[in-house]
Amino acid sequence: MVLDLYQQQFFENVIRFHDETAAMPALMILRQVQVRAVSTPSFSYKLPYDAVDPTSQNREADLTVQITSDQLIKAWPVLEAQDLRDLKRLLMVWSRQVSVGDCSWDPAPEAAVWICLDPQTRPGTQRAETAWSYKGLYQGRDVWVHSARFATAFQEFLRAPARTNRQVVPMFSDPAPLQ
Amino acid sequence: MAAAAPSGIGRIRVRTRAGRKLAAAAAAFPLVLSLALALSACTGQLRASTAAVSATLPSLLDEQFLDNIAVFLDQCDGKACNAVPIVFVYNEAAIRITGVFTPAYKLPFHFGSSARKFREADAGASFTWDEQWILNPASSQKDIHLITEHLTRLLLDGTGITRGSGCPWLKRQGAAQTDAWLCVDPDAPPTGAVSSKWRGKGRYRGHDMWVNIDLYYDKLIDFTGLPEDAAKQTRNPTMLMMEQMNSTIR
Repeated sequence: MVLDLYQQQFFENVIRFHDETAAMPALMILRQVQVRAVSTPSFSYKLPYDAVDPTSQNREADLTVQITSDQLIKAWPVLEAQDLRDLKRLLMVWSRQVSVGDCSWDPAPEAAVWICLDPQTRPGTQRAETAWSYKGLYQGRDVWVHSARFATAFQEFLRAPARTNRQVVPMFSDPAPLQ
Repeated sequence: MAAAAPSGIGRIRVRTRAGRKLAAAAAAFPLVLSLALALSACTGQLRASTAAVSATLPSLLDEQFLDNIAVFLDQCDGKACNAVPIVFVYNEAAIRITGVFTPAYKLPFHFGSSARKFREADAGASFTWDEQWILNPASSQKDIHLITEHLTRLLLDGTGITRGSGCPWLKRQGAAQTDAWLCVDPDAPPTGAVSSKWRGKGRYRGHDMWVNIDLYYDKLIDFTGLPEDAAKQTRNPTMLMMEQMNSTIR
């Protein structure tokens, strides 16, 4: 789920930058994810008595289970100026490597276009089918990516807010030089 | 199988076991279904809500920046700006999804007529989600000073902010300022090729704001990163305390 959330943020940013030429990057670093599921079973056996017609007796056995699922996410938005500049620079580059509708399905890893939105056709060759993968529906658009290029870009996207990342997880920050 | 059974009792036993298995399966089905629904529905909603909260951030920052500019516009006399910025730092977003599912399986038994047996499976559900931002006001002396200085410089020193007939698309070709990124209360909205570069951001304190999208977001980023103390206060209170101690010792 955590990776899904980052992936969603990645594609929503790329699509926004592609549609609007320039935009403000919006990224939230997940700080805390809590998932809790509690189930409480209860069993009851009822003996209702009808005073008007004592011969009419009903027995009822009920089994009830209450399932409570509680999920919480706490996230920090990226607001550091340098982090935002780095993200904006990357998103400006990636948004120019997007094709809409007409996709060449170039299987080469150095292909100029590696994000394809709403393609009219599917990858034609076996090589293209292996190289490209479907990522899902984002902002109402079918998103296909060149897998190798996406992996590199996605890692860059996650690394870009370096300062905010250090605040969220201080233990991952650069160690202080030994005196 | 029933024909191979040695007696009638055996036959009944076979039927009863099958019936029990069916009843158990029938009872377990809504339970398993509810559990699966509970978890998948919550996870799906959590993802959607987190994305929705994230998407609101640019417009919140936009509004804050342009609103402060509008406040300063009215308070500048050409030499100084006599205004106090009102800035909040969006420190944390919390998204909570709670789903409660109550499947029930009932076995009423009528004593008067034991042949009348009813099975009842009920399902109840409630689903709540809660999205919130935790804000921290930029109220330290350092933050207020930094923001005031920055906004004053933007309004008084630069040529990036234009007004009325001075907006780039209203000037003749060649005379327009190339570093203009904000146009306030233009005499006429942009038309033709210029309109793809300039975007209307709405009215702020009575001022009609238009921004050049090629330059505007860099200004917004500069402004967003200004309140350092307010950002540190929530994220790392110890860091802020140490910095304050250092400055006191110095």
